[in-house]
Amino acid sequence: MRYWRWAVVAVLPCLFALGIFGGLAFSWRFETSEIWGHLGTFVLREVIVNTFTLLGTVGLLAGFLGVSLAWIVTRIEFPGRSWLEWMFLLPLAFPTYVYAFLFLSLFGVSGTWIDLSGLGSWNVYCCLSLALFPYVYLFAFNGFRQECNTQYQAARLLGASQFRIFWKLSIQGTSSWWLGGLLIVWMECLADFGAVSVFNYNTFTTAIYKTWFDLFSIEGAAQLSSLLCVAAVIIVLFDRLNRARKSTKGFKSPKQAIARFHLQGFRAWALSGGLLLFWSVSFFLPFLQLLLLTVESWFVEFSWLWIKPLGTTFGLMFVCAALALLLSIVLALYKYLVGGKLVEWVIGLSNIGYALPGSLLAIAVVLPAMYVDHFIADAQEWFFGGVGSLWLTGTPVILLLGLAFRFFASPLNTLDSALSSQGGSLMRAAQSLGCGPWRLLKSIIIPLHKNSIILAFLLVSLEVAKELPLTLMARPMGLTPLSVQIFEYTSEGDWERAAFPSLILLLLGIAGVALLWTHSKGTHFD
Amino acid sequence: MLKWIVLSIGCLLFPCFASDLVVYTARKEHLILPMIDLYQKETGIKVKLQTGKAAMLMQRLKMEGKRTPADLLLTVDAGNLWHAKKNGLLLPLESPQLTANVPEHLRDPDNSWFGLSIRARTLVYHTGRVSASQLSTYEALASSEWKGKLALRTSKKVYNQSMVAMMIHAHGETKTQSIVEGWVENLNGTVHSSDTKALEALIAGKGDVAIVNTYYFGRLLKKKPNLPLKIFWPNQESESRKNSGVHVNISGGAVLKYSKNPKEAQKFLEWLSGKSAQSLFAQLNMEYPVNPEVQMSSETKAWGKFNSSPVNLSVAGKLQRKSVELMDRARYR
Repeated sequence: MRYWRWAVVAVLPCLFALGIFGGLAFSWRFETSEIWGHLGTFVLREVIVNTFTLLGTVGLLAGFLGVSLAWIVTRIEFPGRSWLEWMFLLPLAFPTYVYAFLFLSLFGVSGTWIDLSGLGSWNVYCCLSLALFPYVYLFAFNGFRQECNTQYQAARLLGASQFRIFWKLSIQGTSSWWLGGLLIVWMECLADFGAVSVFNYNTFTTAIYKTWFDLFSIEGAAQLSSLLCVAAVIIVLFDRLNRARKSTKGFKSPKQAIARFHLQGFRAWALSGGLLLFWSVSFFLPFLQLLLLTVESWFVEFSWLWIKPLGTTFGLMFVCAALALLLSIVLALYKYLVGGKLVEWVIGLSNIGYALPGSLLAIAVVLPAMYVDHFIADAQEWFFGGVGSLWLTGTPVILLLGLAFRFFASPLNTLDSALSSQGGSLMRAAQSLGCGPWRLLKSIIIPLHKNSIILAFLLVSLEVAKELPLTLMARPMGLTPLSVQIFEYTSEGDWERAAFPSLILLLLGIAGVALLWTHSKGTHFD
Repeated sequence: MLKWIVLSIGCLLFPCFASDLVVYTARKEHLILPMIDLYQKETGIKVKLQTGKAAMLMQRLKMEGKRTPADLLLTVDAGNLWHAKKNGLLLPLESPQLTANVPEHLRDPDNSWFGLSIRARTLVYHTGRVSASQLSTYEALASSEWKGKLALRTSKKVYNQSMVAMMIHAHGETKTQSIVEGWVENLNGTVHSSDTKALEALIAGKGDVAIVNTYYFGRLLKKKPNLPLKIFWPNQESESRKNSGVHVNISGGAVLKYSKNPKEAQKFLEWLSGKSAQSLFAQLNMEYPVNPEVQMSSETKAWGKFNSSPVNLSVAGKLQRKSVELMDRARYR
């Protein structure tokens, strides 16, 4: 078989994904009727209703906000538009668990601004919608930008009303775009643990946590996780279908862009003011609150405890992003070289990590690593005597592999589309002249797609910095990055101490958003 | 690129190298570090910390089995320590020093774990809307006169689970459930995610009485010296009555069964129960020292003396699962 070494690497993440599914399916062999009796009567109903209400409400709110804001900035000209265009993306810079505690300290019982605690669960819906709508916004924005004026002219000539044109062409016509963003919002909601626990809102993830740690049943927790996993896989399938639909139906490179409608006078300023107000609530107020908390903590009790975690965070960012990038290069190149349905399926299955909740992934990495570790230690004892050591779980290897598995989907997609769009003929020519895969990589792919690769590397490293549940559960002794430090402080309600590390993460996040924006302006973001 | 990856992995590996003593701790780093520093200074022994949630640390210890690098477990809540013992993770100790320093009801009957600081879970009320004479016991807060006046933290927090477990021990399940249902009935709005939020709710007029650990009150008092809130010690009337005394819990420690260095670990635990560490415990987080010979901090002294529940805290662990299920039945979220 040609490229068999590449095949071995390419098949590893797929085997790992299959292992997770197998392990979860296996958990149903354990007897847990007692736990399920209690969960079924007192816990599950609330959790199911809550999870679906959360998905529905946040989906509607974030969908509405994202699509309408994107439509406004792509169709209407008003003062400050070019600024607001990218400013709406900024809430993405907050990790959701930080956004939630800032939201609560702004609008909670003793909120600095207004007390919205009377609204009950609407607080968590609003918080997550404000934190996540930029996903829909970004996708919808790119969708609207690709629309073609000729279609609008044709619709007008055929006598369609303004509303019908708006609904049929703008909204329905770009549905595959904004739906892509909405699916990410749903994945985030389904996997969220930090934000919902700040609001004490019980969902599937909190039920898993409760079953494991309060009712002491890891088997029951694994069974619940498998249900969550099914939901995540359904969303991924929708996502894949949607991408396929987009690539066949989507408008590519518009010949004639649609001109913006120029709003004049008072109405233009009113629109700017309204949008600026909304942006202030979604980004500026939480940002200001974080700054205030940081200043407060600075004067009350300044400590240098965050310096070491900052170094750890940078280390993790760099190594994980490099690993994820290497993995995605191998997979993308293997797919390009070999091709075929089977390879597509294998790769499709292996990059499912991004949709799985981090806590589930943590169990999935740590458990098998522990078995391997004990196996190695057994061998060590058999050969050398004494008590064997745990080599894998005592070092960051497991965490690094877990994070790389979780985040390599996005560089893979970038490289995959880059390989299939540009340089194909050059690569075929090189191949026909006997150029091997390493040389292809070194002489053609890297020089040609250098920018995409660097961007993918930076975006993954920023995701790694924000990640919490997997890092928290799979980290080895003594390794505390910023995210874990924030979690430790906030879980005891120590907001002030959490402020400074949160601010650093936020600044990193803003850098990520800026990158994302420049990239999405320059190319057709997918 | 590869060079850089190897170098970075090397840097990340650096903190993982072995040291003299390894402590798994559920106490927050900033609360335990000063003690570790002092011990290192006094003895020259290097101590390494792994912080995390108690349940996660225990799961990890179970998975690591006899190959664990850890020597000691330091955690909050007696229930956690009871579970660690039940899972066979702890080493029973014979230490005259520890048994002398830690009162009997604050340590394991078989000396597998020892309390290191006391945390009292008591009532805090709004001085403008409630007078101390209206308050008496935890149980009385279930009566209808407190409708819409109670602020509670979520039942997910182990402090509440242990408190309800102790009530089950005193009153039995049926009566405890009716008490907890009464509390839920009397809540002002929803439950809070932390004790601090419950206290802030009282200030904002969302409730008149809260059940919280004293040091959360202390922390808030430090930030806002003119708090309109005050501590009340409940269940003080009769020693003979069931559930008498304030519900106390501990943060405690234990030497692990598979410690590679059990003697050094025991020495460290003994040191933690001694005078210098105990006064640090008292000052750092405004908790109460377990060692009766050690003075309370000035802040805690100001809140007055109280009788605490004399029931051995291992009960909290034994009944924890029952307590979680009971709170689910009572719709205490």
